[in-house]
Amino acid sequence: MRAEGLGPDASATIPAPDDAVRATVRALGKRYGRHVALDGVNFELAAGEVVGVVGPNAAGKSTLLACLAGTARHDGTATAHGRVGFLPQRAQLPGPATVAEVLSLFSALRPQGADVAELPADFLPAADRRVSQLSGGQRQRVALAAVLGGAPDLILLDEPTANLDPPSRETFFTAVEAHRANGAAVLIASPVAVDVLTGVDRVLVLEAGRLVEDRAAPEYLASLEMTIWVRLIPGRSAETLGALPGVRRTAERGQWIEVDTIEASSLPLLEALRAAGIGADEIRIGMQSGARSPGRKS
Amino acid sequence: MIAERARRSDPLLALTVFEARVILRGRGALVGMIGYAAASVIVTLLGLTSFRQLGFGSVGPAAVALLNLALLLPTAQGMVVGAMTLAGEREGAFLTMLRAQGVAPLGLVTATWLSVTLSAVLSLMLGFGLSSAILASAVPLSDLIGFAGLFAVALGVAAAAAALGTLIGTLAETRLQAGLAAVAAWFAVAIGLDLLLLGMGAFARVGEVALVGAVLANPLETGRVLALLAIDGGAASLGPAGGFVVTQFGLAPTMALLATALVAWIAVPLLLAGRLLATRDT
Repeated sequence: MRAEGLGPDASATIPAPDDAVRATVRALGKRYGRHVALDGVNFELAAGEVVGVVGPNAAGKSTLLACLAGTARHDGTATAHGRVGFLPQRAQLPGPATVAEVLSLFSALRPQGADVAELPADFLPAADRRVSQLSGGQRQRVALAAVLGGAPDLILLDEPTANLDPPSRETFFTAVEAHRANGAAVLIASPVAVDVLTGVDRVLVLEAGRLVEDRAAPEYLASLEMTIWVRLIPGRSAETLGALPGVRRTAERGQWIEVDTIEASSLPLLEALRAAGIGADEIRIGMQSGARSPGRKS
Repeated sequence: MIAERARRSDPLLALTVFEARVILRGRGALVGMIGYAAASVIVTLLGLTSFRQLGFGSVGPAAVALLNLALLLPTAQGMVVGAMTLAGEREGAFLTMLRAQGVAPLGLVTATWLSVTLSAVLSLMLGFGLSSAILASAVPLSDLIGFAGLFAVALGVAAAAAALGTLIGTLAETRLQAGLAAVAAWFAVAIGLDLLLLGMGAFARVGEVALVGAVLANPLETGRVLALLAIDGGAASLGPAGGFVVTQFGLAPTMALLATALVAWIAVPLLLAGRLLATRDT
């Protein structure tokens, strides 16, 4: 069992039960001196569930994952059921080691010497290359392969897609899906909400150490803030666009009118803009990266 | 698809082999090895020349000349590399990854210590090997026996230094901090504690028992006296503390006491480091 209160011992983990709860978090608290990193966090992770943890910097995302991985002391309960694979934020593999040596080490550390993750051959750099010779993205891929290997029951990934190019991200999410199908629960932390929404079932939103939202991913996605920029030309103003359906706020910024909406209202709004004679070349669309959900009542 | 079959090796052994490769490919170990080997050759050649001029012909005096070198350089290597390796892996969250895989803190500490000690052993072998080759051409082979004792003691001191370095690496927040702390600790055991003792002696009489305590409280001093006893049990260069203990207890018990102290200098820092790693966030 991951110890409660005293800070878990990574060497002791509850065997994964058949009823498939992969993680239990109850009244989880963590302080760094006077700073409260986590405060009364509660949730459970079921087998086959992929959950995103989002929130601004210093919201407690990394600390939450470290508590569950058994590498941070904490108050309350953070219990991992089964074997854990943990990729910390900005993990650095030893530079003089080769790719093959890193993967062999993690293979040997697994209880039954399980196989490494089923990943396409081109996902990893050549086995004999040293980590110090790899780019940031290649290093991240090696670290992911090391952590995902051996079919862990609970996979904790802190900003796993940082440094990954789009094809590598796709491969990564395919691997995550394979682990989900194998019964693993996956917890992915990222400060950028859209970054983790691919294939995520649930979203946990942390703010200042508190779990402020625990919602289904589609519902969360629908509530995400979006901004549509419309080119400012004579006869067009923020006030006129503010009257369109689904608009939450408008403002004129230089040559553009900034129109804030939410994901769920974006399509009707784009239709209304087109009906108003505004062409696609006059529009820019951006999803706000912040994890704060404007749809949430606060 | 990659489906690399895992090697069913012991996790601690696998981790030790991994760490040893990383350390031996690093700059610290390489600089330590080359530096110590070069210094050993120079000191041996100078020692032989000087002692010939003084009328000495055997390896004993040359071994004494090598003693400080054998104790100081591999000790520095063990302490600094040990501290920086563990702190660096902690800083880069590699220790976190390993701990999450279920590696016990004491296992992590032990693997690092073994690897660092191995790098110090290789340094010593290289340095002693070259010195032995030079000495063998100048003195009878039978005279090299004392040299073997010196090698064994230097190995023990380097292992103790690696253990202390590992402890420093556990305490330090960053790799840089660990490196600086290790250098400071090395200066303390190499010079600082002797200077402190000298300073105390200027104000108060330091008795033999206190001197023995001072020897046991410094792994480098423990090793120095043990090495001198190994080379020549009646050496006048033992100093007051060594001379006092040998007179009080005899040669063999004194050597056993010093060897036990050296083992304690290895075991205690390692146990402390394991305990600290278990109770701290990584």
